[in-house]
Amino acid sequence: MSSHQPTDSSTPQRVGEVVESASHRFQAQCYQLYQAPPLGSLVSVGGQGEARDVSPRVYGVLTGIDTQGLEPGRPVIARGAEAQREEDIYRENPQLEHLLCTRFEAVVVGYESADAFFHHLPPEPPRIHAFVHSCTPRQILEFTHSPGFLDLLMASGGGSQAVSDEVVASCLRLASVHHPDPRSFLVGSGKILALLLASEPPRVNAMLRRLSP
Amino acid sequence: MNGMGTPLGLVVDGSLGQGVEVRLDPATSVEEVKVGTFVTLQGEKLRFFGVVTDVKLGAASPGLKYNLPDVSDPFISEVMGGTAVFGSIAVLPSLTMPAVLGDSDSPAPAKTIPPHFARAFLASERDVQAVFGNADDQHFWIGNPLDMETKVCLDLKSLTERSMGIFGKSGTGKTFLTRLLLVGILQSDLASTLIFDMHSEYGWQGRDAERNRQVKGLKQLFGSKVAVFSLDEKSSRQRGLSPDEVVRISYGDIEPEDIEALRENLGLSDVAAQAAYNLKQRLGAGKWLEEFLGMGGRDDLSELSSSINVQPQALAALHNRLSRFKRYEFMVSRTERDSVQRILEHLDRGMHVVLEFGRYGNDPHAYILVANLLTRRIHERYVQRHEEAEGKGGPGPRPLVIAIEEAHKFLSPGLASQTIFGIIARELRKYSVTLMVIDQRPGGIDQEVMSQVGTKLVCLLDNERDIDAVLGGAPGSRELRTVLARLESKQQALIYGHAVPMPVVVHTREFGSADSYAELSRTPSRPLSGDGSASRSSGDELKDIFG
Repeated sequence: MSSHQPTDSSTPQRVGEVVESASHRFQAQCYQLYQAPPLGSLVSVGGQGEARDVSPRVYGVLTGIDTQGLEPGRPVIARGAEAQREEDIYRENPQLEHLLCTRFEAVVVGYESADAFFHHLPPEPPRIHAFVHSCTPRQILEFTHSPGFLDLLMASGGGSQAVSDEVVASCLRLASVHHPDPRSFLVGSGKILALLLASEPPRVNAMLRRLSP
Repeated sequence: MNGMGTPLGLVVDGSLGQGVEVRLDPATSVEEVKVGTFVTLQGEKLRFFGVVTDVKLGAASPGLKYNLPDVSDPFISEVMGGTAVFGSIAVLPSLTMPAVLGDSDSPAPAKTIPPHFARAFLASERDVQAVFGNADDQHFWIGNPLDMETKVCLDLKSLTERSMGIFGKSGTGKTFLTRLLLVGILQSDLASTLIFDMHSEYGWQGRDAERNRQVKGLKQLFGSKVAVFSLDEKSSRQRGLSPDEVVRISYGDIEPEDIEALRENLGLSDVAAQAAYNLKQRLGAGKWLEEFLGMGGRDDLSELSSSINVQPQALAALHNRLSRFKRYEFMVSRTERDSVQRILEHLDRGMHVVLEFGRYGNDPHAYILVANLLTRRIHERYVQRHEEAEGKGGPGPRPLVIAIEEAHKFLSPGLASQTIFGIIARELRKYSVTLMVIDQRPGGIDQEVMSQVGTKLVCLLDNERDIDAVLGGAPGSRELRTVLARLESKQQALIYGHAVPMPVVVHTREFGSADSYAELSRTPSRPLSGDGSASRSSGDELKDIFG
């Protein structure tokens, strides 16, 4: 059931395909059920193959993952009354893999063009059907090296404020492990958050408690 | 770092009148920056030099104090420091620095302030040196800025051109500071000095009560350049000093003006003090006082009072109060040598005169009487010489600095207009005579006189009135008040005025160790302007003392 992709791989893993796209956010569908990257992780879209020349590689942070039936008119029903274990349900109903799908939503936090990172919105949104890749440790390190991406992340939000703060905290925690000094990365990012949210001390306090290593 | 000191933060607010606010970098703790520390501010075109006048704590949000972060978590504490909460300092930019340090341009008073986000640095030793100069013949090393090794030097020419004041509570180091200043003036040889040494501390050795040791006086450091006159020979000899001259004052030297200067101290009414003028007129100049004091009987006085048309009670009061003069051993009917003349001769030769009061130092009447009398005569002489020099177009008399202690007794608002010291403080600069006023109650000194004091050296003061009096009218006085109130009670002084480019807090230099004597007794590089009798260098004398 675990949906984790290996993140320490030096080559990006393809994790899905864009199915909805806007300048500040996009939605992607996973190729396999429950195979979305972790909440708050950094993903990249496009910028590969032929598209590389025409559109930049866009970076996004996962702000939400959901799994539901593909057909809106056909609600998902409970099937495990007789099953002993959860896995048995999927084994006995192999069609479920095709009737259900996992999607994730990401906010755009910047893009890469001509080998340079920009922490603002790309000139054009990712294309529909563009491939979504998990980021390599090197990409994560380079993209989060300067804290500018936090501005877009905080500004975009991912729905309600609570989700947004949760996403920001997990994004920073995930990114920190790829930095040579994770603690100082978290302290530096924490300072940016404290400034961005200076007028909301309770929110800063809650956020910092989540970040505290 | 381009010769800059440690970075501190950024300018975020300010005005020329009130100084600028510098927000400290997260890496800089407020505990590292002290009031009185020197700071440079790098603007776009100019570099400013200023002093820290206040240290503050700030918070990005006013609500923070009601929603305290969990600072027991070191991570949270580290994050909050310097961002949501931060330190800031108030800096008073006083000078603009030359574009290149070591340039011939000297720092100039600041007429504007650095822009937003100008970087602030701790001033480097080189910056401080560029502002306060190098010790040389005309610049005397008085001490060091707080926590720095650089020397703060006083421009002695500017210092002696106008009156100077040394203020501070009792026991805060006024006497040491005064000794240092006198040494500076003696070293430079820019002026002669006449010191009315109330407690016999400056001429021969004085006492460092703090370290319980004897410290040398000017005579021991400068030998034959200094003449010690004594009013109380017995006391001087008891302390191992053979005074150059013993001062005797004849009754004939005392003028009604001298009695008037003592009016407040003697508790005389106006009428009684004015009676002295009538007495002089009636009994004759030069002998009126002795004759008056010689009258014993009530009848004599009564007769005299009616003949000079003064109330008998007033005259009796005057007689009663002035009778104390008869107890002064230095008062004589006739003097063999005119002491005032002798002092003047010494001063003319470019020497420095210390007048020790011995046991009379504890008698304010004797101190005021003698200081006033001598100074009045010197004043007359200097005015006369100045006028002569102007007539002939020659150089004026050699500048003279007169040092007086307990100055509020001469220069109180009621007296300042009458005593000779008030006149000197106000106008004698043009006759080359200036005052060195040493006092613990500057609030008791006439405001008009205080306003004429060019350079002020202020040790710790805590009385509001005294602080107001010394800071009155100084640029940035509100900020200096904070600095003044935080001075340590020993060996620290705030100096501002003509002799320094900007207000500065110094840790006064050492006085009392063998090393300090060797440096302080340095012979001036220029020859004496008098008869050049100081041929034996004080260095030689030092060898005699220390081997």
